[in-house]
Amino acid sequence: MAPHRTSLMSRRAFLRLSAGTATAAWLGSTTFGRVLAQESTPIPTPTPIPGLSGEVIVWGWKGGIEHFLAVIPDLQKLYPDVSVRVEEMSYEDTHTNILAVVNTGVGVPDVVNFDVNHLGEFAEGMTDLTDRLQPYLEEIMPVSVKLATYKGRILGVPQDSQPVGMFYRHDLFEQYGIDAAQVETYADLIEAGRKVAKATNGEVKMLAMDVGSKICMGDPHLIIDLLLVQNGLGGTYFNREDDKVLVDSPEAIEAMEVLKQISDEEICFIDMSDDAAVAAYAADKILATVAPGWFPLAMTGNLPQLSGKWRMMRLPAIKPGGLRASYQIPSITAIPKGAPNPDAAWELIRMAQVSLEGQLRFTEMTGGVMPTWKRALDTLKDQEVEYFGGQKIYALFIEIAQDIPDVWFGRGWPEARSIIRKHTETVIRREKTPEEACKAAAEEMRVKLNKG
Amino acid sequence: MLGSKWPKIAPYVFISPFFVIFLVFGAFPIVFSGVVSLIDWKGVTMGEFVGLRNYLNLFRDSDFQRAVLNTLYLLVLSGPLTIGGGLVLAVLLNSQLLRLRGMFRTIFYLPMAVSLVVAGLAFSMLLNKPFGFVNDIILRQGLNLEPIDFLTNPLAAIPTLTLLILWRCIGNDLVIMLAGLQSISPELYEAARIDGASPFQTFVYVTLPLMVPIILFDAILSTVNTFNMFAEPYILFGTEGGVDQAGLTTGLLVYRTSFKYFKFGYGAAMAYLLGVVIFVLSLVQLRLGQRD
Repeated sequence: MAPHRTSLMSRRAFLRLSAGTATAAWLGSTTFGRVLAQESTPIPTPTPIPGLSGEVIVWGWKGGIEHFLAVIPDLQKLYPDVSVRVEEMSYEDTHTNILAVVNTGVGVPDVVNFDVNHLGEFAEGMTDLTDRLQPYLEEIMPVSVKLATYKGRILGVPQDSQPVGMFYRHDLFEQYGIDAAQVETYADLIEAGRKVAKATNGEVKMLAMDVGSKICMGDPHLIIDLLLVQNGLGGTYFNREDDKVLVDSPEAIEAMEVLKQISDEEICFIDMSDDAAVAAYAADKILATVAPGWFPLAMTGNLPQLSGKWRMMRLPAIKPGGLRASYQIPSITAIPKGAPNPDAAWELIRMAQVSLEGQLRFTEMTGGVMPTWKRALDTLKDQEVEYFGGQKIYALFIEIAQDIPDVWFGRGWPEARSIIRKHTETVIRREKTPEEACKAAAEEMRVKLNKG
Repeated sequence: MLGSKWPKIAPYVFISPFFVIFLVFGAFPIVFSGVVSLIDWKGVTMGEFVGLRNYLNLFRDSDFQRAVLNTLYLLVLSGPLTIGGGLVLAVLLNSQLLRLRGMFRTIFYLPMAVSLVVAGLAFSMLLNKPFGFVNDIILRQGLNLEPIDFLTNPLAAIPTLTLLILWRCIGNDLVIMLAGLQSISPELYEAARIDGASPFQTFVYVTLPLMVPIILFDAILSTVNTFNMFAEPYILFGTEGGVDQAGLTTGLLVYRTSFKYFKFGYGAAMAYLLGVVIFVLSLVQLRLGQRD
């Protein structure tokens, strides 16, 4: 996350801050610590590669590389002649440097971490890991594999899971007579929001977002992205073949219409920065928010006084009976083409990420970021989270993750997001209709990304 | 063999470090980016030759137009303030009547020594709504004033950026102006005084005309710096340029296009076109200066 004002609660900032420190005490009481001590089932047992030697260079940002460092002693027991050098760089530098090396072929590292929305950009420069990952595919959440796949090739090992849910203030819902079970669609949410606004003379609102259409306390992940996926657009902006822009399709316009409705000033603070939102949550001014898997840990740290008052539910659906699941961008780990030591790189990745121990270690070291392995997630699902009144929120997150449909990222996705973000703002500010905004965004994407 | 030729080649050897460094770090990147600007180069694979398409696309790119307009607005707002402010301060600090001139010069120049990132972050915190120091003062006045949205109100973006530039750069302008003022012969002032000119008339009819080349130089420098400005808007508004892209400047857009979207060809075309804009603006400034 860029070092500017919105970094306070971003996922990357959260990972950076939490890596191995802040939540250690919290973890002590969770299932992770206990499971790590248990004997895990070997899945499946790989045969060590004979004669492996040399240095493995890893690139990544703080919060996503510590589990590689932690696995080095185990790796060197198996391969005494292999050494590992982990090079930490900023989030932006990591992505820029990856592109530079895959393009020039000079100074190519062996292992790289990157956010999966860059997959389309880096695809030509990454090694196909389909065969290597094949024996483990049954273990990994399908959505995580889908997100790491580009045009049929698995190009990265999934690192974290980010299903999205809706968090709400249980106490305030009760106070204002809202039954969370009855909030099944965004229309229901809007109706409940109006009820609250009426009861409080507009002082308390259902949601908050900033005018840049960012979900408060989350990454600059647009609500529109969630809605597009919910409305059947698995590639958010692009088709599966990655040659067509779909943001002016009827589904996209309908999603934008929902965004317009939920950003109505009657039910939503539309100009609220992260800092202001934290203050407003603390002052009981906001009832709900939409956020991914890392979010509960951030809330615990920033709003400890609200412990026991929050609950989690699925996202409302766009239409009755519609999909109530979506996701935020996770990271993946890959081996660039031209990596000097690809076999040793794979062994490092395998031990750090493609094993139950590695998955649990990652979750522990990041302070509770959701892993991608089903068995690792299983260790979380029975956990009753005190902050959420003892609710088993991870079980719900896992259910949501299982319901996420076929999803993918295409070439030019980061730029497309910037474009849709800009046009979404015009809808929130009521300068354009959803249809006008979607058509303008699509036109701009087609020109800038050279797609149909 | 070399011994007899050495006297002839020695001068070239001695001056060669500059040319080697210039060719590697100056000329080559300029030429190479010119070539890249004609290619649809996304980074990973060598793209196709597209001729002037990247340049033509710029003219219908609303982000580019927005960035150019924002930058021109910033230039119009911050240029006169920093140059004019620098000149006024320089005149004051050049006065023999003022005491502790050295101390004031140091104070005004000190912000230049502060890291840009530190300055940007400090401003970002000072101007935060509603928790920043400035808004805190506003709210504590008891006048029922609303906090000012320096960072997220689109109308406030460029003025906020100007504030940061003014604080940081006025010391630099002051030093340039001071050097100019000190190069003016005291005899001219003495002649003006003997002719009965008031201090204001002396400033208008003696100082100002003689300072035109310096002001011109400073104006060109400001133009170049404003079009290339990156760190300040990046820290205050991020790569998107803040709400409604109100803080998106050309430097920020070139960075975003090249290093966030990895469209190196398009980014290079943008940089080249901006180079032309800067050249034309500088030429206009020079012509105006010469005419005066």
